[in-house]
Amino acid sequence: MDITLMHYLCLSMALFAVGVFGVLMARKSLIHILMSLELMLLGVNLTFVSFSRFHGEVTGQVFSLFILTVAAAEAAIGLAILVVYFREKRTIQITDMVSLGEKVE
Amino acid sequence: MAGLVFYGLAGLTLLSAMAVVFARSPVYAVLFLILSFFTSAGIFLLLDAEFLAMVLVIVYVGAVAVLFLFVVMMLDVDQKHLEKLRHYPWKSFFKAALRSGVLAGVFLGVFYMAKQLWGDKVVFLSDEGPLTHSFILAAMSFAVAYALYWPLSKWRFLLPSESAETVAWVEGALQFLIFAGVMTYVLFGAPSLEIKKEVFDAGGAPLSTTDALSHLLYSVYVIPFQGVGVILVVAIVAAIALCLRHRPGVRRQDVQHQLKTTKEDVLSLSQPKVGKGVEWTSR
Repeated sequence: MDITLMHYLCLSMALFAVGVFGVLMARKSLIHILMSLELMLLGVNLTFVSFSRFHGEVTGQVFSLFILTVAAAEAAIGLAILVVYFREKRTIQITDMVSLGEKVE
Repeated sequence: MAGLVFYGLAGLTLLSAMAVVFARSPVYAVLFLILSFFTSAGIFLLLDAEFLAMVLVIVYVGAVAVLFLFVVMMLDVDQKHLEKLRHYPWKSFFKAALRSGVLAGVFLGVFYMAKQLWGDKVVFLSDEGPLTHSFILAAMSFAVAYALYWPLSKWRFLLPSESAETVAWVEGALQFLIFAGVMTYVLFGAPSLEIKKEVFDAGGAPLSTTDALSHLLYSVYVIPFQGVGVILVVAIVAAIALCLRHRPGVRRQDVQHQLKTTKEDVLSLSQPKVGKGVEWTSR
């Protein structure tokens, strides 16, 4: 049972796909979408790290580190915006955010 | 053994990722997110990225996920909205999944048949050929993409118009894009996926990944490294500035006001007469 690059790539692809699915299922709350974004970033990170491992090159891990940092910043700001929005409107439901358009059922 | 560990961790990661998406309660979703971070830290360890694994555990599990947890518990999220998930078009999802699974199976079957028939004659089809792995990957990504594209056909409000022609057109375009992408990948992207299994070396001496990472991070990538620090500071300031609120009626120190105050504002001299006292005047 030799684990190749392909196994890791398949795993990261599946993680990313699950994240995309979570974002597309926009019937839920903003917080679910933020969490799905984290999952997608995790998949991307996994791709970087596995390529870095199998190419014998550490640069991929450097970029993975940067992605981690920026994702942490994104999560912090996103959650802050979420809290402010909740205070203002008392909801974080995607379908309720219709100030600029008509309500989707 | 490593294979067993990988499959266990990968399965746990995927299962908990799905639980994040499908969990009805946000608190459970966050807890499953933490679990998936832990297991992917294990996968990073398998990939010799021990520093990143530790960073994942410390930063993500220790900070980001707990932040999520705090926010989820602070906000009084209406649970009845989450029940809408029940009306999700599961039937068509399973149909699409079945269709894409069958398609991927047919792809793989044709490929393996071709391999059995001409495997020893055509280099592309041999075990070491670049096509073998990429074809499996392409079939899988085709299946996933096909299973994922169905929301478009269900959620018409994402489309510019709801007429049947538009829907059919968008579906056709999507299918073509997916197919073209997969074919391009199979035909041209495969050779770049040759696998080198070298341990990170520095002049023959074995070097830990953390060591190599630090050398790279503080020499070649020092500017982006500092830039990331700036981004973090901006994030902190922005988060605090966004969430800061001033309740009316709360006594608060106003430094500017304190500094602006002069002697004349606060001090008044009076000469009280004996037995009369001082009349109090508010400014």
